[in-house]
Amino acid sequence: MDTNKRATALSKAIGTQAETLLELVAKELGHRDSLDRFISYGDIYTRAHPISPILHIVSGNTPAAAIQTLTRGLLIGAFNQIKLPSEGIQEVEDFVEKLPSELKSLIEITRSRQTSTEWLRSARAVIVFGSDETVNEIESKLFPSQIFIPHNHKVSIAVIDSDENKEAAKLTALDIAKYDQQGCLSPHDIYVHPKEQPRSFAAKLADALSELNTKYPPTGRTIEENIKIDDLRRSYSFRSSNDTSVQIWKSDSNTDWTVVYEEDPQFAASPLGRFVFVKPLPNSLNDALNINKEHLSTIALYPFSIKRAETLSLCGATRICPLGSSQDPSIFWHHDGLQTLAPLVHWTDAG
Amino acid sequence: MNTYTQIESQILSFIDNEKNGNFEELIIQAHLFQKENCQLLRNYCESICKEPRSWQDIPPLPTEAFKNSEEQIISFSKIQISSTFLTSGTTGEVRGSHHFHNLKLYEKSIHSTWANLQLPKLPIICLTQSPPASPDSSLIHMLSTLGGKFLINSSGHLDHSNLKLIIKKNNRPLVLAGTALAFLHLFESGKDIPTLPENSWVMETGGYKGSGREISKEDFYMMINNNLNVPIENIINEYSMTELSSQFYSIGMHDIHKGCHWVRTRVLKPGSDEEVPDEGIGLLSIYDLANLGSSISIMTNDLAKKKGNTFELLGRDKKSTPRGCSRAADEMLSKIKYGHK
Repeated sequence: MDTNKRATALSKAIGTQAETLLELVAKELGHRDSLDRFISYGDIYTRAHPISPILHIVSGNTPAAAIQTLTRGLLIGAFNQIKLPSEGIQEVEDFVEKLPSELKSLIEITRSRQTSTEWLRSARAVIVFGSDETVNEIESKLFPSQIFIPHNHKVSIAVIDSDENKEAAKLTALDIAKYDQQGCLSPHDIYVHPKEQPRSFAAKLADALSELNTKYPPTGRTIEENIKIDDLRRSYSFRSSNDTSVQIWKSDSNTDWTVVYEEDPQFAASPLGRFVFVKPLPNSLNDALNINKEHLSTIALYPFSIKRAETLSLCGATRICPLGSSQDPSIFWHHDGLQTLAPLVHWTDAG
Repeated sequence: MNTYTQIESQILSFIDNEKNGNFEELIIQAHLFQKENCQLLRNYCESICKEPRSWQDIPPLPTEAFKNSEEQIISFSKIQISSTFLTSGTTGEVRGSHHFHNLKLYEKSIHSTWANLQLPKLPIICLTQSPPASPDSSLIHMLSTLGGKFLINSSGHLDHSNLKLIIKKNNRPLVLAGTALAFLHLFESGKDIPTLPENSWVMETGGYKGSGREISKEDFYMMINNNLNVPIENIINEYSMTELSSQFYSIGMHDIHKGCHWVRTRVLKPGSDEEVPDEGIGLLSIYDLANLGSSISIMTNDLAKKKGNTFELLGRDKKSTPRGCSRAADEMLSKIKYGHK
């Protein structure tokens, strides 16, 4: 299969135009035919070859990221080995079922730790989604010749500068509720400009999460995740009973959703599971994010403008997107600030 | 309202003999006393339940409350603090402080629990530092109260030769006590480990919190059995917290944890104050009359299965860290590091 045919087959499985996928190839590799023939490159010719096999160690709580990394590997024509979590990822298996046999033959899936450990030794590229400690440990097992693309612990935030249309709370709730806030793209903290009264915004966000929860209650949380939420809720309930700068809103009799308003602008880490902090937007967001800048992924912005994105880009975020689309990155996004296809090919020059 | 000393006296008497009082009346009295004298506790409890009608209505206090450096969870005057135990904490973590007016109730509870549960009346040798080397450890104070001898020096090294000497010299049954991590370090030290005299016991406690280690109870108890020649039915697990004044014990592999008549437990559904049904799994909350100086109700982070009026401990501090996209990779790593099945 050439790139055009792979793009066409993938476009049907992921619901994206084949032309869009080919445009991604062109942007990352210089030309949409780079993987199929020699193309002009300065005063020589060059063509790309997929680095293969690629081992993708993916996560159950963010199926979209798993499908996206697999799509990239297939688009360049590499052989893809995927380690799924032990409970599997139905969305990935459904995606594979939609592919033609030529692409299916480029995929091998396992849930077995033993198998994936063996694959780790033979992979030419390893893409891993994991905690900092895990990513470091896996990296230490690799040979210098193996390409390593880590997607380690990242956090995201939202910034609300103004809310004239009174829709920011609902958009924020969408960003929090989708995939139950798992993964790296959903905001932990919502920074609201003081003129929009952050405490009142927190109450509106609680209403929006409550409403969303009636239609889309969380599913599949582990007892450990619920314990973490329960523990932090009780800590903040204790604090709010003794400190007027803290207030908490939460779902009744379950851990479904939690909103904490906290005047202290310093970034606070959420245990995820629709647990979010609302804080006043400080004059220096940089200072508030100080300890987490290296881990900052996405800033969801409302209202969105490129001009405002320019100033926020100084915070260290690798992505600034419109509020409400945190969990739906473009196919063109630089995942964690990195190119997505270019690191997965090597080149042969001619001339 | 009765004074601290008057309520303390009633509780001491109740610990001595269950017939000397009524748990429900004593704990409501202690709770009202604590609310009267501790604003932090009053504000929290009244935000949840103003007038508890039974002990189950008393809100369990989160351990976060013990981390406040400006205001303490104490039901007596700050100047009357005589002892303080600190929670363990990883680097950068704020440690909780449990302050005491005096240690009468604490020590009474330790002795009485050991006696009431008919735990072995044998010399106790401890794989821990001594109280002077670690004065803020509640565990070490507990072991000292039980008459323990301590084998880890102030620089943190286990005195292997002294361990061998004590065993050789006494040549009679003993209890070797320590944290689960201390036992692991002993077994992994590569040094010659002396076999304990016949009919000896092991008491382990503390889990593997903060160590990154996860070893099943079955595997751990087999390690004890293999290394120390102590039968599994002679291994005791002690369960308590710095924020408490009483302990629970289980013996062998499948035992439930038992406490005494001055403590009660509830297993709560996460996100609510409702108790799970029998055999249900949830978060353990503990009501401890000996905690008169701080809070008689404590919320743990520990996962438990409700077993009638008591519990089976399923895991200590089972809080998952926010890992984002890490589940599969962490599973894989655990295989690489420890070879778990």
